[in-house]
Amino acid sequence: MSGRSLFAKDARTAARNRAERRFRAFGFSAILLALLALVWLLVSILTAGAPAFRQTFLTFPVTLEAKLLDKSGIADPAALSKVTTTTYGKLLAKALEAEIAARGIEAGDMKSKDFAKMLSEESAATLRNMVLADPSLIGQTITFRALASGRIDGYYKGRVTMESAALDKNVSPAQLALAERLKEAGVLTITFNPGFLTMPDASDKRPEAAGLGIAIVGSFLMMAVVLVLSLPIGVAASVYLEEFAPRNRWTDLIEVNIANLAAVPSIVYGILGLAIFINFAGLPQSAPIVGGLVLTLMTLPRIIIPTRAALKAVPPSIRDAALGVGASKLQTVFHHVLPLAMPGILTGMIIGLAQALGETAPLLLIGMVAFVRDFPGGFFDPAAALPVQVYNWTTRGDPGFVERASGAIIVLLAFLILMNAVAIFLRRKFERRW
Amino acid sequence: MTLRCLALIAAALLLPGATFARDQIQIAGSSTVLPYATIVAEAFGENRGFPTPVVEGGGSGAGRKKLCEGQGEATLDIANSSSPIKPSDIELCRANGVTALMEVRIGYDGIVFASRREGPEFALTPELIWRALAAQVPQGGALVANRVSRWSEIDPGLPDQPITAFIPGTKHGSREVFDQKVLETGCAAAGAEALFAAAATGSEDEKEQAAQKACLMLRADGRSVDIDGDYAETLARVAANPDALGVFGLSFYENNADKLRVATVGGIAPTVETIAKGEYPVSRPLFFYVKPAHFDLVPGLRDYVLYFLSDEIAGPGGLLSGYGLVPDPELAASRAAVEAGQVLDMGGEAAQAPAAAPEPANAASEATGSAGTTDGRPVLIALLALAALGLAAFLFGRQRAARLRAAGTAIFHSVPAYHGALVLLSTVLPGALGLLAWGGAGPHGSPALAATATLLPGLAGGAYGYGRISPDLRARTAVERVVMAALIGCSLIAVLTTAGIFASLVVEAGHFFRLYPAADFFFSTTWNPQFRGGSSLGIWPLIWGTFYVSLIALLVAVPVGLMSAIYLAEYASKRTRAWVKPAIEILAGIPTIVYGLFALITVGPLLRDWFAQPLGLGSSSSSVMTAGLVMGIMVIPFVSSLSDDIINAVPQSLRDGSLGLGATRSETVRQVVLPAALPGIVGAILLAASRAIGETMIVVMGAGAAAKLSLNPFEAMTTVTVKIVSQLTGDTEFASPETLVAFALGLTLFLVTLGLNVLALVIVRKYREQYE
Repeated sequence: MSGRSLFAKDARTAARNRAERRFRAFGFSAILLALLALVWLLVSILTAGAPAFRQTFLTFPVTLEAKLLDKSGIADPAALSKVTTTTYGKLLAKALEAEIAARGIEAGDMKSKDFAKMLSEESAATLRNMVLADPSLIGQTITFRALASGRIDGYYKGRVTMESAALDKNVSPAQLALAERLKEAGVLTITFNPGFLTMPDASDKRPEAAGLGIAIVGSFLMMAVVLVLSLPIGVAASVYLEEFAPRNRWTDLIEVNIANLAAVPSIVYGILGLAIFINFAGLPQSAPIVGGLVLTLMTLPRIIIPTRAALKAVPPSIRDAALGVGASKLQTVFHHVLPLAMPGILTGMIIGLAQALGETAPLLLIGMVAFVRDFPGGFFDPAAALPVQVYNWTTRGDPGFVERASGAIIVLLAFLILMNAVAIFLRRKFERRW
Repeated sequence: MTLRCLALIAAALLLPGATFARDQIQIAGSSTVLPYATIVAEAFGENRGFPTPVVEGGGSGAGRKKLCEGQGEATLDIANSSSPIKPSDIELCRANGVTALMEVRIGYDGIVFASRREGPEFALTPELIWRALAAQVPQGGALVANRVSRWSEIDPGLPDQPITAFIPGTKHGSREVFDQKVLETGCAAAGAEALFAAAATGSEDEKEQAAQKACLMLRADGRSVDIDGDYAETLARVAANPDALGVFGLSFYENNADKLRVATVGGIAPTVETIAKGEYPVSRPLFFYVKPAHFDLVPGLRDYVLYFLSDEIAGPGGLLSGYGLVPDPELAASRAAVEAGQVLDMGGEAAQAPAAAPEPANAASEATGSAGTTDGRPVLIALLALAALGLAAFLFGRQRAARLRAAGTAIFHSVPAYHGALVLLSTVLPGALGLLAWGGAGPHGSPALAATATLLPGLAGGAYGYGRISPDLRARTAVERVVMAALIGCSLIAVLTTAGIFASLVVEAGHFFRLYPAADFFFSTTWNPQFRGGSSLGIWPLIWGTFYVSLIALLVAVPVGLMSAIYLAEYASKRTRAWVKPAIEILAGIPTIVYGLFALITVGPLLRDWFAQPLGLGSSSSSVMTAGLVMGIMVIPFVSSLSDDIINAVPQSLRDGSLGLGATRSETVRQVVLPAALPGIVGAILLAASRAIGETMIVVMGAGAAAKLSLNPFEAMTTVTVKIVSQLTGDTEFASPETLVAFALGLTLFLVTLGLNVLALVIVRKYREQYE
C-alpha cells in the first residue's frame, strides 16, 4: 500500500481515462462521418436538381385566326378537335416571328421552322386545349406564355453553350443569340415553374414539359394503401408473436419467416406481385393498388421486427401490474403495453414507410414504370410513382431529363422530411427510458 | 385496430375477384421502341380525343410474354419489340387463346459507335472492332489470346490510345445486332472463322457452330465492358473515361451530339439517310405486335396503330424521324396490311382479324367479352353498407347493454362496450361471409344483389347478437377470442407471403432446370449468357460478388452505425440526439437510385483516381469498393437507429450499478450495456446485411455488370440481384434459359437468406435476456 492521495491519478486510471476519451471520440467521429456523407449527398442532389424548379418561358401575343382553326365558322366542337397541334404549332411560330419583327429585334436569317424549334411542342397542345375549352377565343388576340424548348432552357441552366449548339442539330447558335436578345426585350423570362409539380410526364421530345403531377398522386395513393394495411396488420402480428404466441415450432416457423422476409431482396416481391396480383387476381397493370399491395407485403416484416423490439422493451412489471388489478391479457396489451411501445413502433414505421416510398425495383415488374399522361381517378387507374419516375428520367436520351430526375429527388426528399418531422414530433412527445 | 385489420383483409380478399373496365390502351416492351412509342402516345392523346395510351418499357421478351398471356381487358394490347417474335412466344400465345397477332414494322434503329467529343476521330470497320475486342485473334496463321492494348496497334490510322469499349450487355436486343453485324462480319473478314472451324472438332455442322461461338467470344481483361443498363449509363461511362468508345442508338446519339463524336463504319457516318439507304451497315428493324381482337375491346386501339403508321408520324420528315427513327420505305404497305386486317401466320388456324369497319359484335369480341367486365363497384358498395351496419350494430348493442345494466340489479360480466363489439362482430362476420359467397359464386349481378347477399346475413346475425345481450353473457371473452383469431390471422400473412414467393419462384425455376442442367448452374464458375443458346450460367461469380460487396458495406456501416448509436444513447445531450438521429435516418430514406448516381459520378472516379490507379489495382471506376462504400453509407441508419433504440431499452439500473462500482462510461458501455443489448444489435446488423444483399440499383451503377471471381476490390463485379433484374427485363425471349435463370437465381438467394436467418435466430435466442 502506497500512501498516495486518491486525487493523484495512477498510471492505470490515466490509461482508463484515455481509453474513455478515445471511445468518446470514436463515437463522435462516427456521427460526424455519417452526417458528412449525408451533407455530401444532399449538396450534390440540391445543386443538380434546383434548376428543375425554374423554367424558361416566351410571352407574346397570338392571334387565333378563325380561318385556320375554325374552317366551318360555327365553332362546332367536332370540327374544332380535328385541327391538330401541328396547326397550332405553326400558328405559334408565326406569332413569335411577327412579335420579333414588330419589336424590331434582329433575327438573322432564321426560317419559320427555326422559330418553331425555339418553342416547346407542349405549348401547341396547351394552346389547343385552351381553344377547345373556350371556342369563343377564336378570332381574338391573346397574350400567351409559351414554354421555350428544352435546348433554349438548357442554355440558361448551363447545359447548352454556344459551342455545343454548333454541334447540335436541335438548336443553333443563331437561336441562342436570338434568345439572348429576346431576354433583353423582356419576351423571354425565367421564372419559378409550378408545372414541374403539377404536370404529367412528357415524352423524350419535350423534357421542358415533364412534370411530377402523376407521380406524386401515384405515390400518395400507394402510401395510403401501405399505411392503412401495414400498420394494423403489422402491429397485430407483432402483438400476437410477442405477447401471446406459445413458444413452439409453429411460432418458430412464423418468426423465421418474418426475419427471412425482411431479408428477401425487394425485386423478389416484384415477381410475387406480378404472379399473384396481376396474373392470378387480374388486377390492372400500373395501378397504385397493386403497387401498394406489393409494398405492403414488403414493408410488413420490416415493420414487425422493430415493433416487436419495442414491445419487448416494455418491462414485464407493467404487464404484471395490469394483470394484478384484474385486466385480461388482451386488455393488458391494448391498454398498457401497446401505448407504451408506441414511440418504438413509430420509429419502425417511419423506416418502413420511408423505404417503401423510395423503393424502385419491385415496381419495375408490375408496370409502375409506365408513361402515363392522364391523372388517375382512383386506386385502380394507371399511375406512376416518384422513385420510378426518377429512374425513368435517368434512362431518357435527352440531357434535360437529368436535371428533372434530380429535381424529382428533391421533391421525394421533401416528402420524406415532412413524414419524419411528424413522426419525430410524436416520438418526442412519448419517448421514455425505464 | 384489429377489427379494422380484419375488415381490410376481407376487402383485400374480395376486391381481386372483379376486373375493372379500362379505356386506356396498354403498351409494354422494348426499351429501344419506348421513346418512339411515348412520343406517338403523347401526340395521339393530344389530337385524337382518346385517352393517352399507357406505355411501359421492361424489355422485348417480357413485353411479348405479357402480350401472350391471354386476351381480354386485363391483358396487354400492344407489345413493342426490337426483334421479330420468336416461335416460343407464338406457342405461348396460342396456348393462352391468343390466336391472332398483327406484326407492325415501324422503322429502323441505327447502332452507332461514339467516343468523347474532345477525343480524336475513329474510322472503324467491323474487322477492326472485332480485332480490338475478340478473345482470340489470328496471328501468323495461328490463334492467340488477344493482347492488343492500343487502337494504333491494330491499324496505324486509328488513334494512339488504349482500347476500352462499352458495349450493350447480353440482355439487350442491340447486342444481338452487334454480334451479327459487327462481330460475325468482322470475324469472317479477319479470316478467323476458318481458323476457329479448323481448331474445332466434330462434324461440319458442329465445327461451324463452334466457330460461330468462338467469333462472338469477347476478351475478359476489362477492355470490353458489358453495360446492362441503358444508353444513359453508357454515356456516363464514356464521359468519365477519355479513352472509351461506347455503343449507342442513333436517336440517343443525335440527342447528345454535343458530347459525343461518332465513328464512321466502313467510311460511312451514321445518319437517318445513310441507314435508310442501307449504306451504314449496323441497323435493325423495330416492331410492335398488336392483338386485333382488342380493336373492339379498347377504344382507339385501331386508330392508334394507323396513326403510328401515318406519314406525319413514322414517314420521312415525320415526328419520329425528327427523333432518330429511320423511316421504313415500306410504310404504306404496313398501313395497308393493318387496314386489311392481315395477321401473322401463327401455325394453327389463325382467326381472321376484323377488317375495316367491322360489325360491333363479331366472333373475336364474343370470345373475349366473357372474360368478365364486371367492375368492382358492387363490392365497394356492399362493403361500405356493411361497415355502416356494423357501426349501427355496435351503437345499438352498447346502448342496450347499458340500459339493461342501469335498469336491472344483476351484475354484468362484461362492460357495455364489449356487448356492443360482440353485436358488431355477429353482424360483420356473417355479412362478410355472404359477400365472399357471392364473390365465390362468380361475381355476376347488380350492386343490389351484392348488397343483399351481404346485408341479409349481417342483419340476421346482428339481430341474434342483439337478442343475446344479458348479464351472464361473457361478451368480453367472446370478443377477445375473435380478436385473438384476428391477431393470429395477421401473423399468418407472413407465412402466406413466403408461400406465395416460393410458389411463384419454384414454378419458373423448374422450367429453367428443365432447360439447363442444375449441376452446371450450381457448380460452374463461369457466367456468360449468349443470345443464341450455348450460355454458361454458373452462379458462383454472382454469389461471390454479392458476398464481397455486402461485406465491404457492413465493414463501413457496422462500426460507424454502432458507434453513432452508442454516442447518441450514452453521451449525446438530449438536444443533439433530437436532431442527429432523424438526420441520420434520412440516409435510409434516400432512394437507392440516388446512391447509384452518386456512386457512378462521384465516388467511382474518386476511388479510381486516388486509390486504384496509384496502387496499380486497376482503372475501372465501377468496382466492388465503390458499390460497397456507397451501400455502407446507405445502411448506416439501419444499424444506428435500431441499435440506439435497443441500447436505450437497457435498464438504467445496470448502468448505475456499473458506474457505481467505479467503471468509466466506456467500460460500462463495452462490458455491461453492449452485452445486454447484443441480441437486438445482432438483429439490427442482420437487417442491414439483408438490405445490402438485396440491394440492386447501387450495384448496377457502382459495381458494374461483369461476373467475375476475383479478390481485387477495385475490379468491377456483379451480384445476384443485378442479374435477376437484367435477365428479367432484357430483350431475350422469355421461355429461354437466359431469362428463366432469373427465377433460379431468385430461388437460390431466397434459400440462402433463409438459411442465414435461421442461424441468426438461433444465436439471438440463445443469448436473449429479459430485464427487470
